[in-house]
Amino acid sequence: MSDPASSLGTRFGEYEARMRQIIASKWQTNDVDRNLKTAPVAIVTFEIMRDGTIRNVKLTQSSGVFALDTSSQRAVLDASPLPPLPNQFERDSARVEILFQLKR
Amino acid sequence: MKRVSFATPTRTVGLRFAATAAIALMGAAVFAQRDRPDMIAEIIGGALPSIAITDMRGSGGAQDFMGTFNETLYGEVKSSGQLKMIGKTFYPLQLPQQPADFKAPTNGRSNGPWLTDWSQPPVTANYLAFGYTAVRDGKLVLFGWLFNVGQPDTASAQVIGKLYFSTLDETVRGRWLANSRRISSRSSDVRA
Repeated sequence: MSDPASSLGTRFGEYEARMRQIIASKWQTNDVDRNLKTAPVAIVTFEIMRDGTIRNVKLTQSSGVFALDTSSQRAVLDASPLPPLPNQFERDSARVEILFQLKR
Repeated sequence: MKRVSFATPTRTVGLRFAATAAIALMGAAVFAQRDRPDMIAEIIGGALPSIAITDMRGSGGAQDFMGTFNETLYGEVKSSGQLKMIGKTFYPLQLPQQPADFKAPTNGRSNGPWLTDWSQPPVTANYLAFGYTAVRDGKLVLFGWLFNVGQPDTASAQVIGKLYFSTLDETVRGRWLANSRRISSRSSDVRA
């Protein structure tokens, strides 16, 4: 039997990869200053409900760049709904933390 | 027999403190466990989207123009500076000409060209432009597609799928280029 405490990403790597891919495809960095080559990470946390709906999107660490912070949160919101959580995942929602790193 | 108690006032206080601390630590551990994300991921963004452009073939009389067409298309997209070009050396040997050429693998076994041939190393492209041309009623017709090869199937991969009619001049190339440039508005890169 799988350990309920183990992370979703470790046990369901395929789901994580898909989620990451979807959110990345929604992340628009065009409005971020073109001269900005890099910036501190913006950290966004959220919950994925059993049906894939995203809720409680929060910026838990600012990059210090408003456009970057906003675009990161927007990417997560626009990715909803994600695919439903894997059936084998025990709980009704999963907590996710995404680190958005600008690198040009 | 007389029992001897070692619970001096000082020791009692110490035990109480230890018990309280242990409970607090256990509570904190449970709380931390509950708040720990189930998944932590990193997304690297801001890099130019990468594109692979296959050499398109032409049927009948159109083939005579394809060498120049392919060379010009590749060169102009490259010079736009808005997309990272993937060198053709890395391309798979089987080049798609239309969406029907893609065959989804079954049980992990390849059935022919597939999106992952382009999205994964050594190509590692975000987008793939492909198509073919034909001459119809004296006009050059370009059947062109632009796929986001990071998608799981061809239906969701299609960004552009159009027919371009033109005389045999720069118009077709120009329209195709304009559409290709549209994807530069979306720039994201993912690192595992």
